[in-house]
Amino acid sequence: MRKQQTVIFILLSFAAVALFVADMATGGVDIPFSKVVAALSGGECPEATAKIVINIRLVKAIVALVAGAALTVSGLEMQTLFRNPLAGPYVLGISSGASLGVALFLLGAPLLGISGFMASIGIAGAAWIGSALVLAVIAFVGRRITDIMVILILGIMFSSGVSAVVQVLQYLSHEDALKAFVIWTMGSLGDVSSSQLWVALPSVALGLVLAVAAIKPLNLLLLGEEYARSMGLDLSRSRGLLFASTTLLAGTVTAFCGPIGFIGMALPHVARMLFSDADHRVLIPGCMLVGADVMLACDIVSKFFTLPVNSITALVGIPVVVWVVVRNKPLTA
Amino acid sequence: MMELDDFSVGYGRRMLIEHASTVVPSSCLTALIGRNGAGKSTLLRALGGLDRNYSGGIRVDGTELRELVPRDMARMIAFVTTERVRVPGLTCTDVVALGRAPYTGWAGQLSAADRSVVRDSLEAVGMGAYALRTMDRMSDGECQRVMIARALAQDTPVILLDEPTSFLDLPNRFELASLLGTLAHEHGKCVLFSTHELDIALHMADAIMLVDSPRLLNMPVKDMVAAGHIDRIFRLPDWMRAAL
Repeated sequence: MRKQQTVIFILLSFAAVALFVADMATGGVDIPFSKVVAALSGGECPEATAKIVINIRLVKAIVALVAGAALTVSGLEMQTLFRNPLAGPYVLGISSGASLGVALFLLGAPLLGISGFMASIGIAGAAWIGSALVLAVIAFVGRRITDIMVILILGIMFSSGVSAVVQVLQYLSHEDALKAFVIWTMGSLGDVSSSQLWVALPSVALGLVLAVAAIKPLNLLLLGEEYARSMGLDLSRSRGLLFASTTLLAGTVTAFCGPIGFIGMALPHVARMLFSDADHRVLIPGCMLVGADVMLACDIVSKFFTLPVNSITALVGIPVVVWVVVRNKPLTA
Repeated sequence: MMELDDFSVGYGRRMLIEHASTVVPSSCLTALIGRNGAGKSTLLRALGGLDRNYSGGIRVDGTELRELVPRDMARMIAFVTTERVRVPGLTCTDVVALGRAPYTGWAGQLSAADRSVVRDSLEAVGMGAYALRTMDRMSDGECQRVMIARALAQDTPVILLDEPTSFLDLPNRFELASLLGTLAHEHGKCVLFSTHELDIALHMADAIMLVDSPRLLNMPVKDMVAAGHIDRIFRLPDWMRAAL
């Protein structure tokens, strides 16, 4: 690794710590930095403040950090796999699968008079099952397809079809259920309880482990699938690894926070530019840090103005994507 | 040395090559020629293990390829495709280092020996000075050489190239073909490249493999010409000959 890259890694890590603390200092109740640090380190601080910091804001900040890292890494994986700079964690239909799960849960279950199982799994469970099912279908259909572009088109078509079903459910559903669904689609980092965190964290951690295990296949895939195979890449195994990793990363985040746009599509480009490298041994940890930093920053802004986080990530991400397109230097020629 | 044994390959239901048995020797530059659609690329892809819809056997130095897992396959045959690869941020050294993939561990970490193979490979194709240049700032001819260095770093007995001279201008074409000759004669490789350019094939190669569907002919250049096969396959249409 080059010296300059080490410096960037250190700077990004410091930024992550600073933003993490700043994120916990921001919110409805004014809590100064010193009190946040005191609450975290077990220093002197009022009990109510300590409760807010530890039980609410710490969980939220961890969610922001993890969500940013997970979405950015899965976006990087999909951009390399599809050799497309506009690919992101949702190209394979993870978000539409999650939407279908949530729509069935919020809109469909009362409509169809289902309770019991559907009611018990909750929004997150429904979203997780929905996105995993969509990925499983795509992986199954794509098993015998060599051309990755065909799989990309299948993914886009399939998710459009799923969205159409969701629209039908929306059209038929009751006002209150509809509002709950629309709010879910806006994304939120704040609705994750600490018990849910214990489900989300191991899933994301496993997804990151799989992403690290895929470093060599990802580097080979930079030259395209044909070249990668000629250099000893086991294509179906590598695809399976990347699909599983993306489901765990993006699927889990979407399940608990709703579809959060543009982070996964835009930030891998920022990481590539910062490190001026295409090697995934640098980019995977790089994307984790950039994703965590930007997501924490977006969360601070969204809390400051009490806006849905999805509108902030879009406003941050869209200029980056536009810049990538206008610069006209695609990921691969 | 690459041996084909009762080898047949087709495209869908149409058989392009049937029951071919031949030997592509080491230290020999063999040009693969044939009319458009005759099956040059299909044959190369089958030989390179990218497409396993063939029947019969392919052996490299006595090892049957069909049974090999991808990693072992990559230690036998290196492939240079027609795809032009330009990845921003990836230096020539990075690209050539990927050629060491069949020998490196799970993260692709290079050993000191791997590094020296990468350096030597870049030197061998005359790109030593470009080691730290990124691929998006190089000409087609330079990129092609880097991809060949990558194949060389793969350290295989056989190197296959699909139309390596297209996109190149005339001097570059001949230089590239002479580089391929060097790889065959000085590095002892079995080099097989497909080409549309008869002049390159006839002047620069040691032997010619001609796809004459459904036959596959393989003989030294002089014998191939003397036998009249080149004339038969590539003759001008009669009306054009009359006009000349």
